[in-house]
Amino acid sequence: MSKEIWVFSEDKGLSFELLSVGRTLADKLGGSVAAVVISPEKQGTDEFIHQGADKVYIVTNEKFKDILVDTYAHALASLAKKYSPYAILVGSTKNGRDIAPYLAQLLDTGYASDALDLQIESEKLLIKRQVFGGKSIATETFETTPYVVTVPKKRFQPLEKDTSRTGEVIEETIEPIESKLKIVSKEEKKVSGVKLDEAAKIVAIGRGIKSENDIEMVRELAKLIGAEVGASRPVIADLGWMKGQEWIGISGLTVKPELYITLGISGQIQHVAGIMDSKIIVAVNKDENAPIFEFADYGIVGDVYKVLPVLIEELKKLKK
Amino acid sequence: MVNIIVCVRVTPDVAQIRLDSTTKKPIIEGVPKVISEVDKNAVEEAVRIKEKLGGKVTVLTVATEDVKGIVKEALAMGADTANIIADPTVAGIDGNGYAKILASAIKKIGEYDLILLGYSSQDIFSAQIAPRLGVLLDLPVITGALELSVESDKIVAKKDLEREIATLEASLPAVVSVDRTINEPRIPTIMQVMQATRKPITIWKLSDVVSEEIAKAISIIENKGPDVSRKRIIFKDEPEEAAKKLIEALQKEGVLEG
Repeated sequence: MSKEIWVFSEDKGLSFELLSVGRTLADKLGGSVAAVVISPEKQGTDEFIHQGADKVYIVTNEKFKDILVDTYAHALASLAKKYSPYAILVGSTKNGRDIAPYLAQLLDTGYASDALDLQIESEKLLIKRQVFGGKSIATETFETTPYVVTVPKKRFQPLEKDTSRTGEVIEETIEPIESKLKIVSKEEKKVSGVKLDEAAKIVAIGRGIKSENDIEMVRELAKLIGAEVGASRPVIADLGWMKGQEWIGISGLTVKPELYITLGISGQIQHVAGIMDSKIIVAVNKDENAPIFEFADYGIVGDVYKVLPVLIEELKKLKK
Repeated sequence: MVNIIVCVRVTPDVAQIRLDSTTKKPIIEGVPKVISEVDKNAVEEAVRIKEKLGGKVTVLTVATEDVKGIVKEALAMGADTANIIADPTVAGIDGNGYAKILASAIKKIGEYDLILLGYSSQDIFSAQIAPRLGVLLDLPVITGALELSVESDKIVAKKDLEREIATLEASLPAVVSVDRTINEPRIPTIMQVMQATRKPITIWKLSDVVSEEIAKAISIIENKGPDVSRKRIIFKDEPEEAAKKLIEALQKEGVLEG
């Protein structure tokens, strides 16, 4: 086993975040950090080095055009078998969350998803992650290496770009395996302009909103403060009012805005687990015993239908 | 005819887990065990496929003890038989070991066209078993299926890829994990619950299924509730007053600008 920390994500921005945490771990370990780039066409490698990588392993083959889980995992596994990294950090995208456990099995090793924090102690990688639907945080480690871990977006700040950094680029040739899957078609999702997981402010609605038409009022509030509108699972999965957008919560999106306002969300742990890192959480709910108030910085106990119009009114006054 | 093996995980009912007020450790003892939520969607999907195309649905679970009473719910929902690997030594194994046990058991059961499971378990939530089974059984894997249709020798499934929805195709046999939105699991009638008691359940020891040593490769160093340090300032005034106070507070926090 080498002392290399590898990072891989098909999302370049996320791979820079992984390089940042990878850099910290590598320094602690007395090792190095490498970016693995799998690409259908030739591409530059400098930016990975500028973002903290000591090495870049790059594999180019037009067959990597579609991200097929088995094809990508096999490519990563053959590299890992050749160079024996200490750990492989994979960006927690939908594809990353498939590729990483597939890779872990090809390497006959352990896997942990959605690391909240990573530390090295006595040369072991300690991984903090949510368990029991977010009620509890476990610190885990494995007896097997490499450690394969997915890391969610926005968990770590990318390093300041340093164009004076230099590093080694290793070009590898790997013949991609034939995938067992076929992509028949892809359909763009109808998503509102801004991505919720990048929004600075979010107004989220739950079951307390009685009708689809009332979302207009919520949008008005959101517009006044420059927020995006999101929802808890029931609104999207069961009622389908905001279909095409992802719900916020442990099985949907994890968000960490400056301001998170919930309207009529009771605060089921599955939802709360996805908003834990928000700076300020505000709750409006008519039930004063609703669990959401436990997790809120500010709350109003009251009927959303009475509170929301007044909030809009007051904010309008403020704008003038 | 489609023979389906549904892998279900028996977990403590997460909704009922409380944290110890001083140690913040989750209290598992005494919490009733259930079939992990999304695995019920997998059972439902299997039963629907059987109702449409015929075949057999076998439930497979790995647990530290005999969980017949819990697995019966899947039989009441319409599954035909169940196999339980009940062995106290499975405590402390990781996803790698767990998948190896399931893969060996699936090979032992033998006849299958489709392996179904839930996208992730409600206790561990790592969504790793389906990809691992794909590797171990050398089968195509689709995770988090939003829709699934089975044709004579292939499956077609929809999968969420963040910005787009992909339609994927694979030949059978295949491993598919389902998203919780794929269906609404049925609630069995009293009659179905009673009939389920007559359906066959086979209990295996670990050594009946695997010959190799399954390593305890994971250590949980700590497990406790998150530190929530929220201000919890709650206004109970009339809406006008409360709204004013809230806006004032948010201004002071500096989160209303921009």
